[in-house]
Amino acid sequence: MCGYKRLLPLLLAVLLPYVLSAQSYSVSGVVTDKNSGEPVEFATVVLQASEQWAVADEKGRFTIANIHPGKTVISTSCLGYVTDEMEIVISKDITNLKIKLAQDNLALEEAVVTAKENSNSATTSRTIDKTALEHVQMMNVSDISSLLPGGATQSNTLTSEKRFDIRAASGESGNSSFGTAVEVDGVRLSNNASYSDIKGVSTNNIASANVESVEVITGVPSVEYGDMGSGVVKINTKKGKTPWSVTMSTSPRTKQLSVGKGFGLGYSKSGAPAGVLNASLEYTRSISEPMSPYTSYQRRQMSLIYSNLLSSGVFASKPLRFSLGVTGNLGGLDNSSDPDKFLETFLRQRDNSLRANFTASWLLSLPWITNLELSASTVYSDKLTRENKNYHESVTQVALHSREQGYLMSEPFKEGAANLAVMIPAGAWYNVSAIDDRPLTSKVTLKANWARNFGAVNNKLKVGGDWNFDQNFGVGLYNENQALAPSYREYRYCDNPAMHNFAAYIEDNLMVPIGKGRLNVIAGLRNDNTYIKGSAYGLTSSLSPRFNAKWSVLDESSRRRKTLRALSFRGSWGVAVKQPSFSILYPVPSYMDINVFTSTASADNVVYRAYYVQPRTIEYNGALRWQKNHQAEFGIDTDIAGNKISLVAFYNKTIDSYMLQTDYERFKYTYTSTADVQGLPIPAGDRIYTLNPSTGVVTVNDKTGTLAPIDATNSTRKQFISKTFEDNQLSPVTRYGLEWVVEFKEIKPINTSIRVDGNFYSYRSYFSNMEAYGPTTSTGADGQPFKYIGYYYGGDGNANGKESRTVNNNITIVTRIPKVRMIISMKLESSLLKYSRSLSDRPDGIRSYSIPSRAEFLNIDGAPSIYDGESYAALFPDYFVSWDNPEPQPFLEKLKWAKENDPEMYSDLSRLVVTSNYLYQFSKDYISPYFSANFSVTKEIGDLASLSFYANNFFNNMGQVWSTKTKTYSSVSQYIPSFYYGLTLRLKF
Amino acid sequence: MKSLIKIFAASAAALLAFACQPKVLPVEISVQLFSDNEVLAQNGVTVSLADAAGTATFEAVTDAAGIAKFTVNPGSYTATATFKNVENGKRVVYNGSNTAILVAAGPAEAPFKLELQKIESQQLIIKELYSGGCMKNDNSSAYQNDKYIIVYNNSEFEADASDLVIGIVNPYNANSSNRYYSGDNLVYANENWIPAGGGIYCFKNPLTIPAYSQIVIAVFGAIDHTATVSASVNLANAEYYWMANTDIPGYTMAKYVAADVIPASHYMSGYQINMGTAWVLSNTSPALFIGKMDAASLKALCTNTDAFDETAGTGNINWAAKFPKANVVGAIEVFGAATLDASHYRFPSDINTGYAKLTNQKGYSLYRNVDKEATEALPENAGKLVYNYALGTQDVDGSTDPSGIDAEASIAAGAHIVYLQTNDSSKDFHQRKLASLKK
Repeated sequence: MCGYKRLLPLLLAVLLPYVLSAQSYSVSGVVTDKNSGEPVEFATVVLQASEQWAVADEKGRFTIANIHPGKTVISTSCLGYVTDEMEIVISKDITNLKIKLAQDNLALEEAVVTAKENSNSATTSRTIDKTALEHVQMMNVSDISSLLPGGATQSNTLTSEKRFDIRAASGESGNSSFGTAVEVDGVRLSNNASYSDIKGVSTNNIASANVESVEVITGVPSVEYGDMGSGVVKINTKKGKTPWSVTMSTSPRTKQLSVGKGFGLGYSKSGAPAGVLNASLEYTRSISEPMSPYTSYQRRQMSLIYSNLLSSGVFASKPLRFSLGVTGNLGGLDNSSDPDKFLETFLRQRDNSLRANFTASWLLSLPWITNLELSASTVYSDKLTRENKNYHESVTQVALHSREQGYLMSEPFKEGAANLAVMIPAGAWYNVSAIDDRPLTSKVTLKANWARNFGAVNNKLKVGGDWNFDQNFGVGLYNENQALAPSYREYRYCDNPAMHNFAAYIEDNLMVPIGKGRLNVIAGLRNDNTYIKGSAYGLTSSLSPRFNAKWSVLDESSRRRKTLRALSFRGSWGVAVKQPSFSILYPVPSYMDINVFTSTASADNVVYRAYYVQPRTIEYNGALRWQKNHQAEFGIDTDIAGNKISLVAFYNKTIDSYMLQTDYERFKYTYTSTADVQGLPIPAGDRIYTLNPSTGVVTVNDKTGTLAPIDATNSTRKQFISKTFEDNQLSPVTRYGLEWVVEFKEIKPINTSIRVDGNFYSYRSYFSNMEAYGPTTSTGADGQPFKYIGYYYGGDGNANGKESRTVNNNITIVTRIPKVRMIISMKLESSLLKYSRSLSDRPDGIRSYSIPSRAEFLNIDGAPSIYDGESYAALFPDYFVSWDNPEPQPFLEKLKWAKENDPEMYSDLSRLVVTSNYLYQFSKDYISPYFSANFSVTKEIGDLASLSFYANNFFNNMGQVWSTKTKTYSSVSQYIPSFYYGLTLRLKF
Repeated sequence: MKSLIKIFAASAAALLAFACQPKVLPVEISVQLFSDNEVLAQNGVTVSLADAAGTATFEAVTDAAGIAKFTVNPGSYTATATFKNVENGKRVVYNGSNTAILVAAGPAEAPFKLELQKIESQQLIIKELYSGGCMKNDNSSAYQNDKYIIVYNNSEFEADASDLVIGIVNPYNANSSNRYYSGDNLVYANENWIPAGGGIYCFKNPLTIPAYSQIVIAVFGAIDHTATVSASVNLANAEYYWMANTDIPGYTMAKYVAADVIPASHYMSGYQINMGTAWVLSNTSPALFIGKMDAASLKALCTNTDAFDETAGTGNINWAAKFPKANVVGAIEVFGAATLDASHYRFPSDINTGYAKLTNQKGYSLYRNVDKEATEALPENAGKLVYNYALGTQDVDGSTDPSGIDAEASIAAGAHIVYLQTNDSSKDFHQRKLASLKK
């Protein structure tokens, strides 16, 4: 802590003299099309060392003023062109710099259809650009995960939600997808205001056709990025002046049509640019099953992005560029047209969203500040789910809506009444249930940077702050006809307070030349303060220090003819904090509805039922800590005779993962059996049952008034009832691995290059919280509700954790034929190692015992380890409590005692012993290697059209894999997608 | 005159000749009943004794020592006897003959032995199982809360059903993954138990079932199901029994209820063996058994977790009680018509062989076939049996009763029906187009 506080004054003390003393120059020039020589309007020119920039005018001209002397890379980019980078030395004013941009198409020798390593980054970062995205015909942006090292192709339907999960696998602890940050044009997509599972945002509603590039930061990101765990995915849409583009895609499961154009709006009379308006429309329809193409997910998206540059008047020397974007999506899942479903039933899930953002970057180029950037964004989603179900009951049913503790007797629905326990008449009916889920996430960021060269040393300082806000305006679950609604409780999402997060960060980026190379050091610190008004969490503060260093020992630019052309090492370490979602902060309350009475059925099948309602969720856990991820990595990048090799080893440790916990509490209630009211003198058809809300005593009344009311006899039942609450997982989730990318030098005679990428990934986690469990729904040996609760280290599962290791390797062969503007690729995806093993661990050893058979669970003396060979395993609670004695008692000791002395107790306690299902429960599971091959081809027809075709799993591998654990073969289709193909036609005019 | 003298002389000679032959005297003999070479001391059994020529038949009734006494002339005889009884809750038929009874002149020294073959059959049988349900009025889906079981007294003696219990065998569906198989072998085939899963139901009060009579047991809802599903059955009947969930706290599936007309004394009770929230009877393919067990033994069986079997899976979920084979009275193995190939037998062959095929959701029931010979042999059935049974489902890939006797129509006409008991579900049951309670 103290170290961080001292950092800023120290930096200022060292750098201040340089701030005040430097001389400045300017760079001006013209950007033209390499082929036509035409000026490239709206090209962005950036000096990387000073982070100063300019935008080319209609004649391609640009000027950057107030530049401090020194060496810098000037980077020029424009939509539709390949980014140009060249190194210049600024020691005087540079005029008439000619920058020629090449059009980004398949006529280029260097067209890339795989993920590109970002060589300038000090941490692991990769970019997938338009050419690669078009070549794989991405329908969902998460599809690009297959282009990362060792990535595997998944099925391309949109009918199930997809999300990013960086350096993690599905089904693991630690909420990894929830911790993966996804941004579209700087707009953070967040699931924080969600009341559903703790998962990352679905990427289904992001239009894919309008994506220009995707950058995936798998290493330690800048402190700019907060509210995350591991990984940042930055999706950039098309911005800039473009011709009309029309895209038509088809595959057996998905159809897509999109139209887009970047309109140049001309110039004002004064010569000021009127800006660029990018407009795009996309319609995508996806089905899960071609045999029944009715249940579909649809995406109808419109995007408008206006951007402009203010460079005259007061902005003449301090230009300001800004953009304003609005994206709307209407769509979702709908099965209402499916003829296989029953009559009027349907399921409609909206996936509507509105994203708006504003970004302004003001190039001040002052001695103490270079750029000031303000951005604001908001994302509003409408995820209303409506489901119409058909119901049928042969006797009257009860629907409970009470949220208060106490006894309730069912009563017929009365308009205007509280209707806490509604009696639904026997028969058949429809009812529409809906979940109104409308999360809103807003964010405002103000960021300033200051970049300077100090001799050969370049320094960039970034200081910023942001505020983000999460709220949900939905009303949660409701039913359209309360008289026929099933049991549910109103829980209005919109009544819960918003979550605010205020963050401040500072980051310094230092580039120091060392010999022929350079050292880049980035150190940053982020402070997050989460404030939830009116909640027990109050203000929660956290710090996220991050550090990256990259030592470029040898630089490619000066060693083109050498064998070892480039060599660099990089290392990173950092902490990231993930804010909780509303499902963690305000879990939807659940209720224990204990049936305390069911009457006999009258001749017309009217049945009265009574319940004791017990709310069982603790809404706030004041001890909850924010989940943190510690991340470290070390990488080597080299170029050996044109063969580029990138190796990176990483280590991630997630602590305080969010998780749901269960505990129990004792409860006693009055129970009236059906037999207690059967055959009473009052005729069944004339009975009205009432209930004493305090005592639970049932009274039978004669609605004709002929007979006096009768109190039914009853008994008392004692029971444990469960309650749930959010908690932190006490033991960490650890992941480590190695990623490699080898891009072999192109085999020129056949224009073919080979890329090998893959990863080794290891995961280990075991659950160490003490968790309660009891089979409370079963009957004890005394014929009463089960009365014991066990407390298990790591929960009551046979296994409390898992370890896994995988090795995936992909070989991609890419053949480019620039003369005919065609590119062909074949990718062989392989799983070479797929290992997993269930764990039953605790710090002092193994928590389960090997037993000879499941019935012999007490035969544990001298038993071998559960990990040695195959055996059944028994897990005992550490201690237990009984309804009558809440004092914890050692379980195993008491079980052995009961076996000899108390058969009923032994019978009950033995139900708390958890035995494994299979002999191989804790055996190592190696899945035999399997493979899948993808084929893609893209052909451009002049500048007018391009055509792409892909066939995934084109060998139609339907083989089997062997499991060493179960010793069985199973279909490989559970790991690789079935054969599918698609075709895309793009027109530009 | 001469002629008359000749006739008189011949007659006198003949009489003289007859009077000179030795005299043949009747002999008193006794025939004693035996079974398995042991004296069968059964009083009141009629023993028939027929001479070799078939011209004379004598009958006598046994005394307390199982001896019947006859007075017959010496000669060759055949002794036969048959009688029916109930022993240990089983219907027993003794039947046998001895064709080698040679009665010599003079006093008999020892009783002749009449060895009777003992044929046992269960007195209480599963007459009908309706578990497949029917379609709802709007055809939205199947309605399957109307299941029932009929237990029938297949004898002419009153049956004590007080200790009758009802259970199911794991797994609940025949086509489910069955971990009791090792290769093609049912692992408990040679054990003395079967795995009773879920729970076991019993009767709370003494219960007798008259001869050739039945009890109806509503499994889930003992109500008039026809009120909302016209294809269903009316189980709201004061004589019916209900597998109640009221006495079993763990059975929290409170939607199953009983009509008020069903007396509380007809609410069954039972024991929950594993954690299911209701007793399960497969919609498609149950393995149902009835057995006999006293209350104390049943409680011990269902609560002694040490004796539970966990082959089917982890303790609390799949525990099964080891129900002794010797206590099993009857069983029916059902395979779903749509899943025959994937189905496995759950009863060992010494309890049941074969399976009854069921197409569910169509209102079909599995109904026991009539023992034609035994039924027609009952003298009281003369003129009361109804033939040309038309409720079989052989026309829809089902089955029918090969006896051709319409059991329910015959019962309505006053006949007594003896049902087939081969312990082979494929021979004992057929798929009936309408559940018998569906009037």
